[in-house]
Amino acid sequence: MEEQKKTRKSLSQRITVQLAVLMALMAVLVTSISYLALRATYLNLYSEKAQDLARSLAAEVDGDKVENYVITGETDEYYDWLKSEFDRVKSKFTGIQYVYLAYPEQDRFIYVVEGFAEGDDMSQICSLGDVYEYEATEYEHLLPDIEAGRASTELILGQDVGYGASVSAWAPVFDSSGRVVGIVEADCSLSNLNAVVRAHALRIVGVLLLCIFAVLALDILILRRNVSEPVGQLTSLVNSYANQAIAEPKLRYDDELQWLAGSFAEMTRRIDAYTAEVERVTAEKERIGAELNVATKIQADMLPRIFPPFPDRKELDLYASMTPAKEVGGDFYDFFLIDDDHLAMVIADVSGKGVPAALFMVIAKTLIKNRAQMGGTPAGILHDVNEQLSEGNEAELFVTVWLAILELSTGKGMAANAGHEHPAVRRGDGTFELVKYRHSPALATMGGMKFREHEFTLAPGDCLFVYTDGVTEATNADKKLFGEEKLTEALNRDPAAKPKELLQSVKQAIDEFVGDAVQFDDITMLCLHYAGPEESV
Amino acid sequence: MTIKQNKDGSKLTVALEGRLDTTTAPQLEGELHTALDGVTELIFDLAKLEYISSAGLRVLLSAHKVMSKQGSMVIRNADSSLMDIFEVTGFSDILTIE
Repeated sequence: MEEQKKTRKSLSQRITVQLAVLMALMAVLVTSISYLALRATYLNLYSEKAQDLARSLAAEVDGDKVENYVITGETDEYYDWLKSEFDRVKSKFTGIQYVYLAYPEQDRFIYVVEGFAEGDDMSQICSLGDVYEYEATEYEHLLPDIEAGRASTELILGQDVGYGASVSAWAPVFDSSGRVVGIVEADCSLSNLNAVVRAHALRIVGVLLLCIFAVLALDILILRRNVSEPVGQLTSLVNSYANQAIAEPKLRYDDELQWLAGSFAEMTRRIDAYTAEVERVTAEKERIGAELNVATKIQADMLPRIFPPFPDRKELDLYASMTPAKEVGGDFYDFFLIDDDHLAMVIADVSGKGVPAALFMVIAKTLIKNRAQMGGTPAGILHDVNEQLSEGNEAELFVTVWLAILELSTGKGMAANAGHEHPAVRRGDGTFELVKYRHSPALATMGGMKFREHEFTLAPGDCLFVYTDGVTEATNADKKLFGEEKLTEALNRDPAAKPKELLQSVKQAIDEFVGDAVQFDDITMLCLHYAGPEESV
Repeated sequence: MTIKQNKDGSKLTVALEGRLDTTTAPQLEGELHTALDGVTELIFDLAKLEYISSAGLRVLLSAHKVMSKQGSMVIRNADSSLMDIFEVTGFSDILTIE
């Protein structure tokens, strides 16, 4: 909660600060523009005022009398009136610094009358006959105007002329013949212009600042209402999702934040659905896994696993093992006594792996054992089993089988090989060698097949080893196969090894060869050591 | 593995090159699944096939079963190592190998 508040604060703070900076920039810009515009306006205003005054006063002057005053230096009633007019104007308009009528002569003005107002310094006010000698260049630009009888204005900013910043306007006075006999000059002081403009600018700044504060305050309120609070709601929405209490919040406005809330709600719904699906699949997987565990056990239990299997039969020592690549496999081995004197041995490999192969394996194993116990030779047994397996074998699985029936009293046997690996046999003290002969096709490939069988004899001390292709085709990380050569090598490592030790030795050799590579196929082996008829032991 | 099909009317020749094993057998099975429609004479040319595993044999067996209903299937140019495999697995009894 603490953190949430912090986030909320910083978000609106950040936006507010940014807004404040933007508005301050704008205020500076507005103030500057206003200041310049105001200044220009005021200057214009002062110029016009000075011009108006100069023109209106010039219009009042009787031009025919002006020259006379200058020449005689005497005044009359009209002069007094004129003086009072100038005084009146001077008093009336506060901005006026000087207003006077002068008679222009070459290189100089002769003052005729000058306005005087209360508070003026008398010594600065000229009287009739005062002369102002000006520099040659001072009024040069004005002379064409005077000669042409035009009014003109001059803006003098700064202190260089000695009168302060001012704007001056001149208007010509004509006598009845149209000759210029005088000029009226009105000087407006600009000394208070800057103060006036500054005061205006300050007012603008003040108003702007007020506005900015108002806007910022409003902005904070709006941010809180429209952003911080909805975001807070979204945050608690997401937080509450952990507690499974999800409902799309109704925000104040149907804007992006509401859409985001909708997206959140939709996302959580999907996550829920997905989670439920994952849970279901996981449960299903667990169930399948549990069932597979049972299946593995059932399959393992189907294979005879008690060794030695026939403790009271001294003619033989037998050991077998099956290591499935998956939970359940398609390989199997089997051995059982058909009668007191006949031992049947089976090793088989169903094409494919996993549950389909395991199911097929169960059928094949059951059929072979049942059929074998009814008697007959291996070829006959395989023929009958093949007929049954081929029936409706839509999955087109097949099973390679090696089946041998050994007469324990004589060591004579019959074997049939339906597409299975070559058995390995060790004669007496010799070495294991693969026995190669032509095989029949695998079981379940097609119905109506005849199977080959052949006789064989085991002498006392002989050893028989059968296996599935999981042994020879065990593959290492370099994709190299274990192969028949390495198999016989492992078998011959210890000539005195018993069947159990032989199988362990081969398995060890395979494990060493394969290394870390994944076991790809079931590994099944069966080994029989024939000790000879019981009476000879 | 490379599979080259050459169809001449209802006669289809499939030339296989490389290894036909667990990893490549599904590829051949997939191609044959559609290719065998209307074929009465199917020829597998194994001249350039190096190895065939039980998974490969199963595909050949499936094709053989299909063709036994609609025509004939022969296997040609299998070299001695392939012949050994066919012999040992007993497939030489089922398949027509020329």
